[in-house]
Amino acid sequence: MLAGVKEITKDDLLEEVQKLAGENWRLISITGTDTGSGIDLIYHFDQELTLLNLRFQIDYGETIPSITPYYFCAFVPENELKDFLGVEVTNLPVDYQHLFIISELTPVKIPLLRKAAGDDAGEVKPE
Amino acid sequence: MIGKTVIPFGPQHAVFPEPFHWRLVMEEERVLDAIPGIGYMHRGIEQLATRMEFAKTLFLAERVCGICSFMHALAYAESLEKLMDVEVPPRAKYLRTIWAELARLQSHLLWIGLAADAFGFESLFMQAWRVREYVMDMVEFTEGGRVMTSSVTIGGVRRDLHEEAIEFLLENLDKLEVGFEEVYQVFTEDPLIKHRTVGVGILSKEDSIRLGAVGPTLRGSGVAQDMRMLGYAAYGELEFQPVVEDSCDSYARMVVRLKECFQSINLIRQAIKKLPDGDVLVKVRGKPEGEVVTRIEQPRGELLYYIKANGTKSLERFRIRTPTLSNLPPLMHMIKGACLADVPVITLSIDTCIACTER
Amino acid sequence: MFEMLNTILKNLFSGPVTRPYPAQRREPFASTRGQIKSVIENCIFCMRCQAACPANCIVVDRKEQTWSVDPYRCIVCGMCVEVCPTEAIIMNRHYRDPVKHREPIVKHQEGPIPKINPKAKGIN
Repeated sequence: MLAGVKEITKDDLLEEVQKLAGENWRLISITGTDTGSGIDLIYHFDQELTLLNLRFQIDYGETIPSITPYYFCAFVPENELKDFLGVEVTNLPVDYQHLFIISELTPVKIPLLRKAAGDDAGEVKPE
Repeated sequence: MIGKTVIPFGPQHAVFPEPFHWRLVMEEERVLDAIPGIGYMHRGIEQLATRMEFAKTLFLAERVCGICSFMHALAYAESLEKLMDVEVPPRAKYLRTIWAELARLQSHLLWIGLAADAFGFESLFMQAWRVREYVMDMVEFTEGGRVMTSSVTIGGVRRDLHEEAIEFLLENLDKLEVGFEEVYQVFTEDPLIKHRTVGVGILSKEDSIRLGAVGPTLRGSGVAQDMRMLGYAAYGELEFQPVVEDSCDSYARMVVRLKECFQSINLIRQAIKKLPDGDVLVKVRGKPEGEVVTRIEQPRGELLYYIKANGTKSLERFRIRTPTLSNLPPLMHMIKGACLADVPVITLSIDTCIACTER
Repeated sequence: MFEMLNTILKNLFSGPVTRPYPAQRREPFASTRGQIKSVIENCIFCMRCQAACPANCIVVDRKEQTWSVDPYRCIVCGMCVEVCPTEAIIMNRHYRDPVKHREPIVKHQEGPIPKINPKAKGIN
């Protein structure tokens, strides 16, 4: 299993992040996974090569607070979450409106959601 | 009183080899605000990986980036080996180290050439790329391809180094060192290059950590953090120290890369000297299950792979966080307050690789 | 100043680093992966190359006794060469030549499928 995981809840997030920001941890990234019953979020932090993962689950369509007040750089992974998993983030300072990495021409909206993959989600044969 | 002007910079611009867009809010010559725009080449690799067989995904991961292809394959193989409890033979670990350092060398030399080109030093650009050709020859001789090397696989490596190849490596390393010394001298002594880079694009030590900078950008700001210290592949058995510069500007980031080239040459020599005998590949059976985070040091910085597998032939989640994505917020910070003419140099100083960023 | 003179003299008396390309070509190294070639006489139509190909560019038809590869989809990774039990696919070190039309390379085998013991090579 994943090392250095700390299970938290959505309400604790800002408090925990504020504590880490005070201790000079570096935000690596935020990973979101569609588990089938909701979205699993992992916030990766690093300090002197030690990895710390804050983890919590949310339901589809639930919003999460932005951690940009403590880590401005979080707007990049948060915009990614919006693009790929459709997670709405409140108080984003730089909001790309779902067009950070994917564009209007992308055929599948919110591509990493399971239901977006559709019924034909078998093995793909590249064209 | 002059109002604000918005200047679109890119996506097609002479200094960027890849489509990268800046929305620059200017007041006279100063940049007040800069917003990056990426997403011109999104290929959907993360989604494709969840529908392919995990063994074939290795080749997909390798194609995330055209310059650091080896690093992506290495990160993927290391992650799956952790998931499947595979112990890689020691010789394979050393070979991976040698090839990873060759990949770093060629990437840094490529950047050095591009940087020289951005300053307007055409002949220095050609000299840097002439030197790089020794590295490309070594890569092709030992791995079989110049860019897409396909030499790593889950459980080891696919090629072995024989006597002749080791001789070829050592011979070319000597030539490379002599040639690179000349380029290094120009970069560190030329007053024009210093004029373009010293004091430009300041990123303080506190800001670099707060904004999540990685790799040479972080080390150029005086933070000694190098993922190779984690000891993946054979790095744990080799002697090296992260290259750190304290001046926090574009020049520091450039010097970090230049010095890392010497460090890589040294690491390859050490690895060849210590190269153990034995097999290079173990057979891997079964399917991966569980989740893992792997961090390795790419030429541009820390690369994060998060892989979640559920015991089927495809992965459940394949997440790549490339170094450039992490270096974007520090870049925004550096550009604020800079002159318009400095924007290309500052943008180049983090060594942007947009292809990997967009996966 | 003298350093510059040194460089000028060195450049005057040493030849160019580059090659006059089309007239003089560098031989690819022995281990270079250039393109895959089929030795269809050895093929036993076991379909292993088709299953191993990450780019899905190889199509093997056992009934028709044909083996085809789409060279523009092939990524020259060498997996098919590794898994082939009878050395029916070999790696050629020369890169593929440019062509005017994209067409798959189809090889047809005449006569009965050869009986070659796959274990002879010791792979798989």
